[in-house]
Amino acid sequence: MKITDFRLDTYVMKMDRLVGDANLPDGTEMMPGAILRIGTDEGLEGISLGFGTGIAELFPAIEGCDPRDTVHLWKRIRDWLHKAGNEGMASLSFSAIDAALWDLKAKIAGVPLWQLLGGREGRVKAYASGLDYCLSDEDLFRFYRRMAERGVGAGKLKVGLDLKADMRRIGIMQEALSIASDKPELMIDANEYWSARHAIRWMARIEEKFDIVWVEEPAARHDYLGLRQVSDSIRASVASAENLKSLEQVSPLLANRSASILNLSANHSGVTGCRQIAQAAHGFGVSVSMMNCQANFMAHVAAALPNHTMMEVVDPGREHCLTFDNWIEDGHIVMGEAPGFGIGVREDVLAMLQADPPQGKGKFPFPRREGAGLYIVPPQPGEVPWATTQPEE
Amino acid sequence: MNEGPEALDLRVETVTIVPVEGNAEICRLLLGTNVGIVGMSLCDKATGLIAAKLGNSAIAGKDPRAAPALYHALHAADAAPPAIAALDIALWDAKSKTEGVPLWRTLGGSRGPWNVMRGDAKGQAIHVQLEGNLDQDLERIAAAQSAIARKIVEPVIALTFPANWNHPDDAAKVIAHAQAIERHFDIAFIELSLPLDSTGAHLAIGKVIRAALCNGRGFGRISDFRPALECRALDGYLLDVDALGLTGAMVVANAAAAYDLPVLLAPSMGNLALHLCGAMPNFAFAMWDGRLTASGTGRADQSQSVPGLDATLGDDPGIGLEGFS
Repeated sequence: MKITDFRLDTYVMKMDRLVGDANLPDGTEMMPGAILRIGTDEGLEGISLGFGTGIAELFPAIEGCDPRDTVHLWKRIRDWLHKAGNEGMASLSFSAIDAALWDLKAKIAGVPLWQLLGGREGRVKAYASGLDYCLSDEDLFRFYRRMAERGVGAGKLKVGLDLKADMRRIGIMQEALSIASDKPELMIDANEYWSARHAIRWMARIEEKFDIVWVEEPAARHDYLGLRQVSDSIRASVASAENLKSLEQVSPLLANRSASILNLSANHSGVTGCRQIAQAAHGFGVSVSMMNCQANFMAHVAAALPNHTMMEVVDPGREHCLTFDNWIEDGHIVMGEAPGFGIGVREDVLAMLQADPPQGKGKFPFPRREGAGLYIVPPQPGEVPWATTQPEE
Repeated sequence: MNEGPEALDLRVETVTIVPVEGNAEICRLLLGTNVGIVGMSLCDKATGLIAAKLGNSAIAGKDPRAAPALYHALHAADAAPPAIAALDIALWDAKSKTEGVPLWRTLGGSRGPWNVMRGDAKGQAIHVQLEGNLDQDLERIAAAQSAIARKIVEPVIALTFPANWNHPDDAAKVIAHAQAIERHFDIAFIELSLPLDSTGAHLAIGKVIRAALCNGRGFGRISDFRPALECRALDGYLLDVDALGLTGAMVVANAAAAYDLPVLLAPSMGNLALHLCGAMPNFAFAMWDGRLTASGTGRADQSQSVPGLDATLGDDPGIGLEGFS
């Protein structure tokens, strides 16, 4: 079997609601989408979802090759990118190609990807993530309660700009999740807005009231010594690596024991790169958590990792032009028997999105907010739909 | 949603061992399944007996396609690593036979050619087992080097230090021996026999010698490697698939890749570890195993060929052990 061609469809989607974090508190409802299809001489095609638009530059590295040799082809692309750098659009394209090849490999074998990768069952523990800085307290409660009604007893709140409000909202999340668990697992995410010292100070106050399982990106992604400081100073685990792209970039976190949880995704140099980092982390005794993604397709990879804790699930509505074969049940993402990632394309919806791109508020990716790592710029009037903390007169 | 083919109900039914003809010490471990596919691995007889018992109690009834998950579950239950390794290899063999492809392809790798390291002049590199007597060891290295130098300008030389230099207090002896050898030869790798958690000894030796320090042969738990990994105490890892299994070897290889360190494959029965070469990002050399070829049965694995100085894998499904008896 040989790889013959590819098709990349890019589009813009308007989600069903706003998503936001400390860097973009008022949120965005717009997001770019891309569907990569890699074709073969035998008619099967592999599909992946991502943002990469540099596929044409990398495709010659795999054209004519057997798509089942996924790791071998991954190494070819990695080496191809060595001098230019596995960064930015090149990295996203690399990731998209690799993921599509794994989808194809599983389809050739006629099995869902979790099974091809050696998982025992197509089931992964889920945690709810509201991407919720832009949600009112009422909508925040409704989101986590909706997830709890599906058995999800763990949640992650966006925090960072207003300590007292953050603590109030952690309590709201906790209460909403309490129907699924007597002791909901609580996580928070500062999205690199704090400095290490700021994280230590604010976490001390948060931990006076809450038992936090992990704090995500409490300092900048590359500040592995700062993250180590945070790790050594708080009770919660530190989670990081979401915005790194490869094992080479993640390795200082492992070598310095900077994080107890690595957040992984297909953007970590594809399925191959993601598995490589997870396995390396396992060698160092560190756990991993799969990040949210469209159609939860990376749950297939998470299900086959020995050190996976739980996967982030969100519901802003990013799958309008997709079909998929997984669902949330009893607090888990459950995958069906469809081969590969189990993703299909609703061609009519995709064509409509491409012909008449929707309009809406905001844009993606988020910029970094003023003051990040230096000082806190609290939410400005009208910036968030919840009650901010006001100075005492 | 697009429907896939009907899901295959695949289960291990029995785990047995059969002796290898012409070699009383080695046996084949066989995983029989409900669909007729048989997963195979090779191991010593004592390990085989333990593995068969373990397999019949813990693997029977399980889907062999979940090889890595079963491996981690067996380790979590604290079973004997060599027995887990034998089961793991047989599970991977069954998994790739189910797909109808060679194991290297199941793992996503490629057929090679791969660098092989041998004790004679038939590999890309030479591997010399030292005995501990300096004069004799220098002679051994010189003889091996002169044999391979006819084919390779700058041959890679790897030394394995004596197995009984296995205490952290042997560090001074290792340093003296290695420095004396390095006065005469450019050594690429030195394999030590110290415990893997001898990080102080490893670091002390690494400070004063030029060669890349390797260790790992015989260690079967991923956690065995953690002390060395956390301190970057070694310059490379020797992965022993017969102890660590294919699944564990891949985990340790990726952990070593976090430092961009190379991995070498220790000799494996039937040289089946060669299937891993393309699935690891940092494979450097595989040490050739002569145990089975020396028994007069010919090549252990007809799916492998060593036409020149390296090894190329074939297209037999699974590991390719069917041709061996």
